[in-house]
Amino acid sequence: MKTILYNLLLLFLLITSCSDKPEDNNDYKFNLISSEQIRIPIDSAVSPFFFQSQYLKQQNQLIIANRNLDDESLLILDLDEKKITKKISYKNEGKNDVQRSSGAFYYHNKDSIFLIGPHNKKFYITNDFGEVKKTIPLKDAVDVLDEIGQPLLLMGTSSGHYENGIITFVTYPINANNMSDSESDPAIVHLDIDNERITRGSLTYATSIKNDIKQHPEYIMPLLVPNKDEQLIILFRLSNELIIYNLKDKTFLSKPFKSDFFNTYDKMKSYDEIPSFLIESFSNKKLLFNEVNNYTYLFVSHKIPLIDGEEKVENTIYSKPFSILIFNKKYEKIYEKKFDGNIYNVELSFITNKEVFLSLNNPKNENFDENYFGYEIFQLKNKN
Amino acid sequence: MKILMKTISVMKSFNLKTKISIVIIVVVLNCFSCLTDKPSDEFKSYIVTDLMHEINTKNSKYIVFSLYSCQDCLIKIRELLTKLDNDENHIYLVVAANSKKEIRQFFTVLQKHKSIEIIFDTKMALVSKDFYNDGKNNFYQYFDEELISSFSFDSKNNFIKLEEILNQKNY
Repeated sequence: MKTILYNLLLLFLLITSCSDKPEDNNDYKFNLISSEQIRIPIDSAVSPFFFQSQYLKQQNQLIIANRNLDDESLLILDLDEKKITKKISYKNEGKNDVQRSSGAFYYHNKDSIFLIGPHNKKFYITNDFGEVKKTIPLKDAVDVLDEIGQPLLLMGTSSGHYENGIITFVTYPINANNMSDSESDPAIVHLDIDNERITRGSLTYATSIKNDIKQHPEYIMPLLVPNKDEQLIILFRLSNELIIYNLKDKTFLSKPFKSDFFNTYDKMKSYDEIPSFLIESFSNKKLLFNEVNNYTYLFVSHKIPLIDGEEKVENTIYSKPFSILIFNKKYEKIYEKKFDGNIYNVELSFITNKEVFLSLNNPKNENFDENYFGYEIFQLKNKN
Repeated sequence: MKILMKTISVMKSFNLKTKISIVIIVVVLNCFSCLTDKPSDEFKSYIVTDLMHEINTKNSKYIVFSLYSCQDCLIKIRELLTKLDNDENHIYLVVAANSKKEIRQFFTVLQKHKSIEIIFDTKMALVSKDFYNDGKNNFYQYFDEELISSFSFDSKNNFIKLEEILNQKNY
């Protein structure tokens, strides 16, 4: 009897020690609760996937960069009407040529929509008729273009901010294959649109290089989102430190955080790991700010093995689970919830004033239909 | 396997002991032949097993790429195929992407070409194949069940070779 009890105790200890970290921490005062699923029909020219989007809080609209390679357009998705209400088409020739902006945009208002041509290194000021009102060649906006890194610039969700005639956006380092040469490259720059001049931000790639010298090409550019206090919240992809960047004096400070599900972000050891590292690493995917409650939302992709189980199924980025971390105004974590892989698509997900829209357009999701934008809507509710 | 089947059909007249001996010898020979076979054609396996497509072995040309590879390459491939004046070819575009819709959107102009067929790889099986090393676009040509040509290409390297081979009238 004693032996049986001893064995049972051992078995219990074995099971509990093997179990992963908790799926959800019940100590939080909040919970993200699923309220409904919606499907928004899209026509044959609209891709079911997109990289860049921007939520307009006053209009309750989402601006989407269509990923159709032949259709350089922005779509306006009205979330009250639950349909695409406008398409802003751009041309690739003539006086309104924007030469494949690759989805990099920032929507200020219908007369000030900014695009960047990463290949021709031009900045465009356009309107919602698709007309180009002004073009700024970036090489003329700085004394030495290399000083601002590669103008492979990104705007839209999590990557741009416009205020008082100055647009701030993320840049890509000059020599991404050898990051030790890129320490002094700015991670962000400020473009004064009237004066057509670019100034460097004070945050450089030295901040990310100190922790990670061999950076994966897709993990180099930081996430960026403005808060309400003339500050930017910036986060490198493999970092657990939110950087609060003051736009007035360009000073910044760090606010560390910790996930419930892992302790550290793995670093890539060699460039041979490039194909597998995207799957087998934790990484920060999306940073959003809700101006109604002053909460910052961070989507973190979790690591999984490239090859899974006895059936040797190869995982993709769409197989990865993820968690949503929510921070209060002081950047203290107040909530974290983990979501399973193969269901949602983090790239296409976003937050509104009231809700979290998790995209169901995941190619691994059995219910994925390429003729719709599918979303599951979650609400952050107080447990009491 | 063919040897085994033929042997079984001709040994009906032999006694049981002889039959067993012959079967053992043939099985051993068969296994040995399996071991000495040519290495399997990974591309063929990808087409047949992953994409459930029967290889057209008469004369067929396969252009294999991901829709998420370089845009310059995609545009050049499409331009080349659009102006192709050779209906005697059987050209298969094997395209990996996350949805059929994205592939159709890009290759709408090719729908009128009866000799061009798109094979969809919506599970992106291509990206894990050794022959897709470094995200290269590949070309394969089969004639009379034999692989007679294969090479990698992009918008700068081997593209003229691809153009020439697609315009060849082989039969």
